[in-house]
Amino acid sequence: MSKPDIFPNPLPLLSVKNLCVNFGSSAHPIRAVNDVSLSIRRGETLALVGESGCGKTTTGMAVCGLQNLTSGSISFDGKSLQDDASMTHAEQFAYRKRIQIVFQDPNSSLNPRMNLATTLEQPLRLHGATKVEAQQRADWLLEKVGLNPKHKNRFPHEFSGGQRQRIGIARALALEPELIICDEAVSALDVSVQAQIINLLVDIQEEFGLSYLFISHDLAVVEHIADRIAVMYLGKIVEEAPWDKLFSNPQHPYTKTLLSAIPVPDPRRVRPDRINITSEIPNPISPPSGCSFHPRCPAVMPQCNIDAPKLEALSDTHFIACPPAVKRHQAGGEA
Amino acid sequence: MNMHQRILRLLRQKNLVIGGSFVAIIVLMAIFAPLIAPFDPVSDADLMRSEMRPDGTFIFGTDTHGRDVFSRVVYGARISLSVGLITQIINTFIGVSLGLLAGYWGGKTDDMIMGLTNIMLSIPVVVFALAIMASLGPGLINLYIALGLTNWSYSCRITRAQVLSAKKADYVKAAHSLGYGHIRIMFGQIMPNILGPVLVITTLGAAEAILLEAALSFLGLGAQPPTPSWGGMLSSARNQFFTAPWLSIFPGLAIFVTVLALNLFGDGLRDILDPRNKAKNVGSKPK
Repeated sequence: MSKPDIFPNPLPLLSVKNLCVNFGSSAHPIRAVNDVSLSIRRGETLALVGESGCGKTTTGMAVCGLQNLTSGSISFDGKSLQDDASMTHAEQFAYRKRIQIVFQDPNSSLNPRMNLATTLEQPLRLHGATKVEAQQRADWLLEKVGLNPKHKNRFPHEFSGGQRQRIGIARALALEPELIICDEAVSALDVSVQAQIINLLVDIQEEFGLSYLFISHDLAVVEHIADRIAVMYLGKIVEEAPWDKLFSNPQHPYTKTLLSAIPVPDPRRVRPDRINITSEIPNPISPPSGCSFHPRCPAVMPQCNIDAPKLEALSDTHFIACPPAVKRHQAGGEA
Repeated sequence: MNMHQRILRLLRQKNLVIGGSFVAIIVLMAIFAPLIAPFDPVSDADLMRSEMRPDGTFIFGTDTHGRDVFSRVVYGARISLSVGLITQIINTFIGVSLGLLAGYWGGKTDDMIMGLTNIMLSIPVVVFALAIMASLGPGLINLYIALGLTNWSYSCRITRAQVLSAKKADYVKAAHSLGYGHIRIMFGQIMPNILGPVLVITTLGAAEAILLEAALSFLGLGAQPPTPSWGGMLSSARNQFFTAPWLSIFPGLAIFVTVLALNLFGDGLRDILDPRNKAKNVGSKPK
């Protein structure tokens, strides 16, 4: 599935610069997110992929203001989202609603004591809609996500997982956001339901010109929705490229490993190209020296444990953080 | 699940049904006391019929002043239940508010409030209530205040623990990103989800308050004679325990039944409000 690569507004909608988020004591911090920069244009989907614990969810939470930053900056539509004097409380309130989030677990993302009507209408009322407007918009939203507005008086436990995820999407859409963060939005669902939800997300993106920050560990899902993909490893982005380039021509050894791990539907077929890595993901309290992937890297070089690699451009859109791979790439010419 | 199934599920809880029925009977008894009691509990005194054994007219016998013990026990329910109700309203209000603040804000607020509850927990309740009663003086209103201020630490701790887990739920994060304010999240999103365990504590606490009221009235600090209160009746009956045991047996029995009923009711509530239990019941629907 390819999308037209035409984005009329060249200014990014969201721009994250040098984002760091530490947890724990300041003496021995866990660097959950370590110097991450990314940007998303209007109408674009950026997928953030990586193993559990690599900091992709923390990045998403920081973007929608649910996680305090240790350092770095996040700006949305040209305005910084940090708590500084340049924005009044009311302005922040107005900005807040332009970024919404869809969660992984449909069981915990809906308040079990609130029926659908309240879940959807209350935030609208809070942002100034009248009762009738809120009711009409809630009905409309439910229809948009493929649910029956007649079921508005039901409670979350009366819906299936896929339906609840649709409710979560409806709630995220309620305030007409411009950016939606999908935090593993389909990971908790069956594969057939996953496809429905992905299609729904694509449809509403086209209809409303939404941007997505699509956080996932599942490359097979990401393939269907992402315009660009950023691969995270231990709090850092190690490769970023348009989806077709990343899938057809991955450069970073970690990305290659991840791609080779995508399951194939035939159990008898063994993927000859599978790259196995055996060791566990390192402890983020004491990450390995130099490139944090070097203890597990199948193409490790002697200098890898000395210098921490920086993101380097292979082309306008393709960035990797692996000096040996950059050298190989330059030696081999444009791939 | 329709209403019918819901009621059936409630009826399967024996504790809840038995405790609830007894509580209901006692509540009705307190409300309709003037219709049930054959005599006035205070003014129908007649020294000529003092300390009569239970018989057809005075089914629980009469006391030293010749008043009908049954009527006094019936009216006594009003005192005991009002103590249970009012003190628990005060307790729950204080406990839930402080617990919400502590659990939601964490940090220094949490430390301070938890320190306060630990202090409250370390003082024996009777001693603390006695101290308040001693400074305020005896009387029913002061008893409400004393018991209302002493027993909130349990609901505070329960609330805090529930808030700590509830505030991490994704729907709370969603509410933040939808622009909900802190107060709205605390009271609109979190509180409805934590009221189950608080309700249980409140019910059990009501039983405890009724016992405490009896104890304080026994010591002469609660409702003052001639107001019919179960503890007060026990107190004035202690000299006649061997000569007129019905004076102590019936008020004692009333306290026992009320406290037992409230405890059973609280246990039953805990069983049906336990989310794991609920999940089990929902999951057992035939496919």
